[in-house]
Order: sequence, then C-alpha cells, then structure tokens
Amino acid sequence: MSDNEIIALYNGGQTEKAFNAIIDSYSERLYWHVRRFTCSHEDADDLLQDIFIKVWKALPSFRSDSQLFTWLYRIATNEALNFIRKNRFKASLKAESLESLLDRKVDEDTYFDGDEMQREIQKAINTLPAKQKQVFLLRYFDEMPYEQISEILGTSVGSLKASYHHAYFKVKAYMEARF
Amino acid sequence: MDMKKEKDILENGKLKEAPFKVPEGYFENLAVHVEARRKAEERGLMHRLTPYLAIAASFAAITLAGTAVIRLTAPKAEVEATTSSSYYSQNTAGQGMTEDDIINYLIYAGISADELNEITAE
Repeated sequence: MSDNEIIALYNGGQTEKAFNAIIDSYSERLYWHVRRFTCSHEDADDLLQDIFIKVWKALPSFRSDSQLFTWLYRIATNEALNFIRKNRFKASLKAESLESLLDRKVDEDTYFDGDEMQREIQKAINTLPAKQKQVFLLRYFDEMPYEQISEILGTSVGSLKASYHHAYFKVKAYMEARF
Repeated sequence: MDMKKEKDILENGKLKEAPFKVPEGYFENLAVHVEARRKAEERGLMHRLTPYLAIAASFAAITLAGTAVIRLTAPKAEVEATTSSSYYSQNTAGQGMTEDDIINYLIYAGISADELNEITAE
C-alpha cells in the first residue's frame, strides 16, 4: 500500500487499519535499518516493536501534510539513539565500552550469515559516534539522498556531508587495516 | 608511472548487502506481536495503576472516617491539633519495575553510570 493510501485510511478515521498498513509496508525496511544499530536479531526485534508502539501512540499527532516515510524514519532513528544510550549505560555499569559490548553481540549473533569482511564492517560501524553512525547507515547502506536524511535528522545537508565524510574515512581506515 | 588507482575497499558491493537472516515467518507474524504487546502495555498500565488507586482510595476513606470520628468525639481544641498532623504512605515504587525502567529513569535524571558506580561502591 502506498503512503497516500495509508494516509487516506488514517484521515478516514480507520486508524487501526492505517497502523496495520504501516507495519505491512515498513517493517522490513525499518528492520534492516535498525539491525545494524543493534547487532543482534533479538535487540532489533525489540527495537522494531518499540518503534511501532511509539508510532501507534504518536499517530494522533501525525500531520497528514508531512511525509509518512520521513516521520517513521524520524521515530526509528530517535528510538535507535535511545537504544544506544541505554546500552552505553548498561556497558559502563559493567566497566565495558559500548563498542566492545556491540562487538560481542556481532560475534555471538546466530542470525549472522555473512563473511569475515561483512562481519568486520559491522564492527567498524560500532566505532562510530551515534550521530555519525546514523548518517553512515542511511547514506552508505540505504543510499538515501542527503536532502531526505536532512529531513529525517533535522540537520543541514552541509553538516551531514561532513559527518558522512568523517564516518566514511573512519570505516575505510578500519577495513583497510584488516584486509 | 602507474596511474592505476587503487580500488576503494568500501566500493565492494558485497559490503552493502545485509548479511543477516531472520527467523522463519518473522515479518509475517510481526503485526500480531506488535498488537499483543500494545494490548499488554495498555492492560499493564491499568494493572500497575490499580493497586495504587486502591491504596489511595483506602487511605482517603480511612482519613475521612478518622476525621469524622475525631470531630464527633473529641473537644474542639484537640480536633484542630489532630487533624492537622501529617500522614505518611508506604513507598511501593520499587514494585514491578524492570531493569529498563530503572535505566530509563537514571538516564532521564541525568545520572551517569560512573556516578552510579561511585554511589554503590560507598
């Protein structure tokens, strides 16, 4: 179902149907987006469900003149930031860094189905600060235009380009050191 | 002079592929799980609030009954002194909380893990 059809359902008062249509249309895209943040299927599943619960609660405040796609990604990236914040806190309680906690999740992930390079790029992403990580994931993997990322993150295109540039070279240096 | 440019490692198309599997039927069943969780949360909120509402209602009833008895039986001067005394309720805030609730609260309150470690080490 297209975004316009979902919005039409919502505007027609069929909130529950519109919500289910959002889940149908966006669950895969949002799952793959948050999967790289979390480094495990279990956490990605929890986070995705959190996102949809937030979407359900926020639906009454959705303004139908804004883009559904942007609105959903904004909620998803905010929830992903909360996930990082919580996990950083959990890691520091155990005197561990967030990076090593996430790296451990990568190594223990039973749903990982790639090769060594694909595993290492996931660890390279774990070295990035949260904001750079968001930009890198949206640009490198989702190949989203800067203008769209700017609408989602509320950051200027110039600043996004700078963040992506830093993130790209950090990931590249990490990978070149290993392969 | 060798003009051949070395290939950028991140231009390897394979790196952009998602190297993950999901459990069978995961996406097909997601809507059902989200709905179950949404309903559980709604029920959970009422479930969590019910004991507090019951305590508040009992406390209000006892206060009203006590005040009425005092007003009916004691001399006027004693009534003023007794009914202005403070009441304390038992703190039940620690019940039914998850680790996430506590972490969320600590983050919200701006307490860092280092600060928490210092406090618990004392």
